[in-house]
Amino acid sequence: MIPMSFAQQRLWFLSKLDWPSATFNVPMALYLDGPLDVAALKAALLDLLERHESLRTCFADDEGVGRQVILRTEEAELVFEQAELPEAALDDAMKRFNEYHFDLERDIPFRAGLFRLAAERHVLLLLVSHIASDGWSWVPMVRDVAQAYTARRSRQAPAWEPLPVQYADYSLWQREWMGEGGDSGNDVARHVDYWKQTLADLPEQMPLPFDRPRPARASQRGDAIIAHIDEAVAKRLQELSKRARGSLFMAMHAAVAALLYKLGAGTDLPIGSPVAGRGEEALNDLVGFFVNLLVLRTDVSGNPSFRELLARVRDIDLDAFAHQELPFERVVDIVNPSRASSQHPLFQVAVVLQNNREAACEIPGLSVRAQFLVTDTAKYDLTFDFTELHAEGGRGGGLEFQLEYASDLFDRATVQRFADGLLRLLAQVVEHPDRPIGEIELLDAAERRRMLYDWNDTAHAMASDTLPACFAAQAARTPDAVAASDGSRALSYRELDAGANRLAHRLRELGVGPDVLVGLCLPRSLESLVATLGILKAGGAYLPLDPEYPGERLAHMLKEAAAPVLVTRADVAEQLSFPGVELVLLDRHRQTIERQPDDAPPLHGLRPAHLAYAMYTSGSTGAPKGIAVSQRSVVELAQDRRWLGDDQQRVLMHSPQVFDASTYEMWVPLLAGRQIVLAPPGRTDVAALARLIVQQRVTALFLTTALLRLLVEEHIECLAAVRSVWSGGEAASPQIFQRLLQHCPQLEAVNVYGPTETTTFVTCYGLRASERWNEPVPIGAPMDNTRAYVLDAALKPVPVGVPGELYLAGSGLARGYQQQPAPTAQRFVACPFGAPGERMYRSGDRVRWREDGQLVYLGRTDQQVKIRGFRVELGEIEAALHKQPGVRQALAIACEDPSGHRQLVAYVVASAGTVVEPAALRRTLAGRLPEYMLPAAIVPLDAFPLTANGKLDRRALPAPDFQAAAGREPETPQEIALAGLYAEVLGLKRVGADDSFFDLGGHSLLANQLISRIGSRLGVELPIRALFEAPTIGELALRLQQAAPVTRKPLRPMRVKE
Amino acid sequence: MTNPFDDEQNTFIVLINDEGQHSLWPQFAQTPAGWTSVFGPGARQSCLDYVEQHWTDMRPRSLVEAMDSAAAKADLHG
Repeated sequence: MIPMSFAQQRLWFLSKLDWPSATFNVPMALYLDGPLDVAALKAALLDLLERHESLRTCFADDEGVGRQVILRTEEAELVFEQAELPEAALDDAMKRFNEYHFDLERDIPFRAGLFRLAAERHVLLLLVSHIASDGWSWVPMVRDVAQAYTARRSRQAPAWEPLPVQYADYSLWQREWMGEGGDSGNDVARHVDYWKQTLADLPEQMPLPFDRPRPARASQRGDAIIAHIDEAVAKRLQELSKRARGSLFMAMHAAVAALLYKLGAGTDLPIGSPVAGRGEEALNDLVGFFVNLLVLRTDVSGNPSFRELLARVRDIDLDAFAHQELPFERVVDIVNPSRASSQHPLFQVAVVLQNNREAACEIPGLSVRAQFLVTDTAKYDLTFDFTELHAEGGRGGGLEFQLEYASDLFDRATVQRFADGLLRLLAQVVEHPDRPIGEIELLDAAERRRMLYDWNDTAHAMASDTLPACFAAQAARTPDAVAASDGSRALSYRELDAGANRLAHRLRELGVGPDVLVGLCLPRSLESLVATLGILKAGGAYLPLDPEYPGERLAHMLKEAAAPVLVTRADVAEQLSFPGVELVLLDRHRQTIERQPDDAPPLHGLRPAHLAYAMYTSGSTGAPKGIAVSQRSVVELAQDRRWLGDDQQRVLMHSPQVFDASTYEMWVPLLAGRQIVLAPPGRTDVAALARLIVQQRVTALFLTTALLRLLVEEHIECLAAVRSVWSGGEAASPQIFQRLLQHCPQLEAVNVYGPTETTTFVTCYGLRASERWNEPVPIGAPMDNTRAYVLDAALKPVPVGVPGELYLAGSGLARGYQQQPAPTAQRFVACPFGAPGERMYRSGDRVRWREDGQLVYLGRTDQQVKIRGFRVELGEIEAALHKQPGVRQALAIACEDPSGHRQLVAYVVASAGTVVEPAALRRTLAGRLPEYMLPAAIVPLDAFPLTANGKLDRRALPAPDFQAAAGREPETPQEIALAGLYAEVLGLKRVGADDSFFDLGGHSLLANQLISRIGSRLGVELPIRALFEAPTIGELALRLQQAAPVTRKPLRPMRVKE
Repeated sequence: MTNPFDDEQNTFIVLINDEGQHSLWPQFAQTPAGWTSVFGPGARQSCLDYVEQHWTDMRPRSLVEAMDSAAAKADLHG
């Protein structure tokens, strides 16, 4: 029995997996000009079969193990198709011929076609299955055909020496070398060791700027771009490689690595390359599949110059070549990557330098030109295929450059850009080999202009004034219009103005003025609106504080912001203590305030550059940081042209005031004479919100990604008369937007993006029911007076489609982080693309440009995550854990719980001799971090799992157990019903009667879902508060008994159109 | 992709603009117009220490000047 070689085994397996497919067909065309003896040609092809066993070998399947079956020449059926056709039909005919699906069990892996174009013009097409040939096979093959044809024309048999060995000998030898069944030989062991070490922790996939996600099953369809590298460049590459004591291949390998790096593939690049695999000279004359694949793991880190990179690549390649005999199949087994069947194992990008393509071929009486054909299949995501051209006749030298690509993943235009990029890159590296590769410019001037300027052409002249001045002007224009209502009470612009003026006078007495921060700690109410405006009218800036935050955190903020005054109410202030801060209690001090004048205090010194507010967000170093925003930024946001028209008539204000969506909710309506509709204070109650939207005829609102999902899934009817829904905060779900627009075709849905540092919203993308869009939903283009730059690690703009970090410039930029010069100088940095002296904010968000100038969000570059729309720095949670006694190491991650919601999970390693009690740890954290920053689970570990290279192995972290402890089973009918709903909402199998909803991973949005389902399934309406007060099934069941059954009619739109 | 501003391997300088605003800046990149180097080249942390010590009034300089001249005017008239 003749076993397959390792390479054959792999290909055999792949072709079975893929069958029927033409992926592994290798065609070559020979253009023959001159009189042709067809009979002699046919005889010559039979001579070829006779000479090379590989071309008459079929493959039998012995229960999953393949073996070679060599047919005698007489048994082998040679297909030799002949056709006569006009030249114009040739391409199609060849394409059809090449698409033949070899059945390796029955067909020999070789077919020939002869196309007669004219009496003395023919094309001989040789199609071989890859399992029987490789790029190095063409030299002997074409040479043998030519020799046999020449002999047959003279009615003679070819006078060649029989081949000393055949492919079968090679496969037997290889099996023996590998010591079938164990890597016994020293030689093999040495190879195995080398690859094990070299490929440890290999990246699973090379991230490229794909146009489409990888399908579950690769179609193997592909195409190629053909370009030419001119002789001068090729020569200089030769020289560079010679000076590095390397080869041209190494220069091409280094150039491709530099290109991939510039395309965002990272710095650890597994690049594949075929090697001939014909170690013995005796193998050179054989047709057969000897080629082996090497993984050239290329390190491009540290921004090396091309010359340095070439030196690195030389060492990498020489080492790999020295270990090239171990079959790729074995290497795959050694590395054992997680097998995603649709992606090539170990590498997805290949570099090939062909130097034997022009198989020299002389046939007396015929002029012969050989050409490899581009097939419409692709084996890898990208193959950079270079062929050395030798200058002859009128033709120049240089390199032919084919960039083959997988059509599953790339559009032709994208790959054309890669090819253009490589040519530009080559031209630059031969000119400046000592320049860091980061400085290579992939864009041409036109592309650069389009990205930096055309797509950022957002300048729009706006009135620049302070918030109090803008509001006063608006109040004078529409004194009797309703400025805000809470469902039971409303304030006109005049009333709001007067109330705020009175408070402002009082604050002035206390020393409030420009750039003085004033704490604001009030539940959402008309009163809190008056207070916000009053602080501004005193010339100050507001510092919103959430009364539910831990006191320690609030005290830190007030202290750091140097806020001398806190506006609050007596009942809120009682629970907190703020030494050294003057309290203005709106309830207890009402009379003092009411006595103040109704007119505005004079504000001579206030300017648009003064602060409007400071908002605190999570900080990676362990303490929250205050983002200080100027009046101009807010005034310009409110004047964006996207708010024109009637959509923003009545804007819902429901976001926590500490969250910067409140900037939109307050100032977009108030500076335009529109109305704020205030949601009730406290936690978001989605059902109540839905009712309010309908009752108060809200026309526009902002929803976090999670809240939009909830509203669309549970209360979509409430949006039936809304005109504008803005949503953002996390990666948008196209399905949710689709569903929203299907049910509410009247509205515009806007996916919006903006960090607090750039004043709420910077880019947006509007969606209408009538439009179709492709996933994912972009975050869109920059809004008025803002600009977006997508830059790489060298601060150069990246090409379309390539991931880069988003930098933002324009009027929305915050002044900085309150009292934090160093963090400000790291994030708000000099802008190379705007007016002299301008700054830009580096967002930490990874995005890419779409071809149409829209941005697509990809993720974070750092440890920041979003939990229900709130920014959380994992570093801050880790720092908080570290501070606890007994915690030696701490790690926080965000992961999805069984129901698909993102949750925080912390892992801790206890100090020697101590034990960490997760529940106690969580309680301590609750005193320091706001609720949304508390890990849903804390998992104690003996040690963090590490990879072979000693790095933290995130994949090996145990999944947290959100499952309930084995507690009391639910007993009463109410408990059993509730247990079902708990499990459903939390994505758990079972829930004990005494388990708290919140300990099982529940949070406020899931709480809304639960309450909503209790209403619809059990017919009992509970306030959301009930769940917070009675979080276990047992406790909540008691509430159910006391609660009234649902009496309200199901929600429906009250009016469709105004 | 390590951001060039976070990459400890880089050498940095400190830039300042007419508003007195400071910016950390990787030395390898060209200094943008309207900015001048006031510290470095040096390690990242030494640049940040410089910023921490020298950028004590974070208000834009034009704002400070406008307020000072307004105050002076008020003194004159008051």
